[in-house]
Amino acid sequence: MNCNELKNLIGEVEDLAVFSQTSEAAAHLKTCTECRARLTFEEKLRQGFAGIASEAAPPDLAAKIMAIQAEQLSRAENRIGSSETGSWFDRLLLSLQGFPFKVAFAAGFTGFLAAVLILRQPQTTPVSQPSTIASGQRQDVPAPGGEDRLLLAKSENKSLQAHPEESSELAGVSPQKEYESDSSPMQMAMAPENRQQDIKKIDSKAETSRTYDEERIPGAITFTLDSSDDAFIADKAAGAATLADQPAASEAEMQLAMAPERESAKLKSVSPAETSRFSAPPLAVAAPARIAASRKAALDETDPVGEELREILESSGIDLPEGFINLEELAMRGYLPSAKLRRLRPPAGNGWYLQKTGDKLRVFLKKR
Amino acid sequence: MTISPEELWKDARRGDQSAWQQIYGLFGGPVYQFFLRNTRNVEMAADKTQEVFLRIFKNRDAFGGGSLKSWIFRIARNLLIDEWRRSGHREVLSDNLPEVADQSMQVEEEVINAIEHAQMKALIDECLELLDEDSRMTVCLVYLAGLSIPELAEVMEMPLGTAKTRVRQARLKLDAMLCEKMQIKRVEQGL
Repeated sequence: MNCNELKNLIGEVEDLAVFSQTSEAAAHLKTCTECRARLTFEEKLRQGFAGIASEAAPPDLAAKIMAIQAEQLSRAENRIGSSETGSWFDRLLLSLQGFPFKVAFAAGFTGFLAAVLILRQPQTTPVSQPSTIASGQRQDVPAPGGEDRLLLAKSENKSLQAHPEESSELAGVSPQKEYESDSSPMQMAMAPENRQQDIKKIDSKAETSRTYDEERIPGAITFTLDSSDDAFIADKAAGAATLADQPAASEAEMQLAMAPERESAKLKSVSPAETSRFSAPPLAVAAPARIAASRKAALDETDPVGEELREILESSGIDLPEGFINLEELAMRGYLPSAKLRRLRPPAGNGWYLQKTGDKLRVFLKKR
Repeated sequence: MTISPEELWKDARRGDQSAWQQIYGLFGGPVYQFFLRNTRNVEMAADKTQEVFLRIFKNRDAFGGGSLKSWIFRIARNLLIDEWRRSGHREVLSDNLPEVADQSMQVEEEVINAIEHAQMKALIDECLELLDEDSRMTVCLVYLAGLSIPELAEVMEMPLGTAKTRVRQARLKLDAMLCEKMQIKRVEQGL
């Protein structure tokens, strides 16, 4: 036996004392000190591990583990006992196996369907007092986007706020009166003053309709709540529609809002369509005319600063491409004196736009 | 005449409290020490030991013969791995073990003989803490729980050859550490 063989055997044998007594191992161990050291080390190691393994576990652990057996056995006995005494109940449960779940599922599904149907049904009770109007609160309109806000600011109409006296008048409407005149429409959105007559013409029942000195918001919805059948009637002439087919403010309407007063007046002469339910406003006919008119008006309108810039461009002979004009670049290239640069600088968010029509140049402000 | 653990188990599962006590006497300490050396947490070791005995009695019908020791330590090992995974421990028991160089015995016989039993226990404890998880678990299963290599292969659900390799690699690491510590002791004690 050599050292390697002995080393391998030392690691595998279970009883080292017996192994060391075998003739082959004993013969090798007599002559090899390293293997003797290895055997001694192995014996010490095993004794050390045995000592660790024999270290007692905490005393309360023994008590807990001893209780496991009794507890588990008593539970098992209880199960057996309950299964014997409660056999009729078990049979009943067995016969109903699956049944309660089916019933519960069917009931739940029916309830869900009923809830959906109830929620989908229109409200049949009359709206006695609309909270926003009755309390004189301002009807909030979805905030327009950045460009829309600018366009609205440019328009010459009045503020969005309703007249306080009208609000108070509205607040004074008793629920009973409201109920009696249930065919009268409730103007919920901001109808402009000049729209009042249109509304009156459209709906003969609009005797109790209130007027609001509010801005005509393009794309804003004017709702007429006919509480007799509780449906929202769209004021088509006001560019509104029913909830179902509510259009967003179109470009044409935006252009209309931008148009100067005289153009607006011209456009307002367009006869309002009849109020109808569930029909979209006839923008297809009116819109092109409005757009053309507003474009024409815009062309007529000249900005003196823009004119000055146009003149500079024409006089300098610089050939700029159509689009936004970079004033800083012009100044850097020496076409624009710094004094003029400050004066010609457009308001924040806007830029001077160069438009070429044949040989003619047009410079106007445009939102960037 | 000694009764085998499997025979004791038959009695214990029928409700023999004495048999159950003997089973605890046989495996309670090693199972507790197995958890204690691997987790270094006294409370957790006690809880896990209780869990092992609860599981074996709850699933007493699942034991279909074989080695009771292997069955108990398989449950213990699985509980330990679950605990390691729960506590965000790295995945244990990788298949590819790094090779450890086999070194000759670096300590003389007289130095080893001079080490007392208590000192040896302390040295083993120190080295176990330094071992990697895989090696520590293997060493504990073989030397603390007293599993043979075939039993280890059964517990760790791996081929016999792989189990042998694991034990050898773990022992090489442990021996190297122990030898180093013994050399330090030798210098300290002026042997």
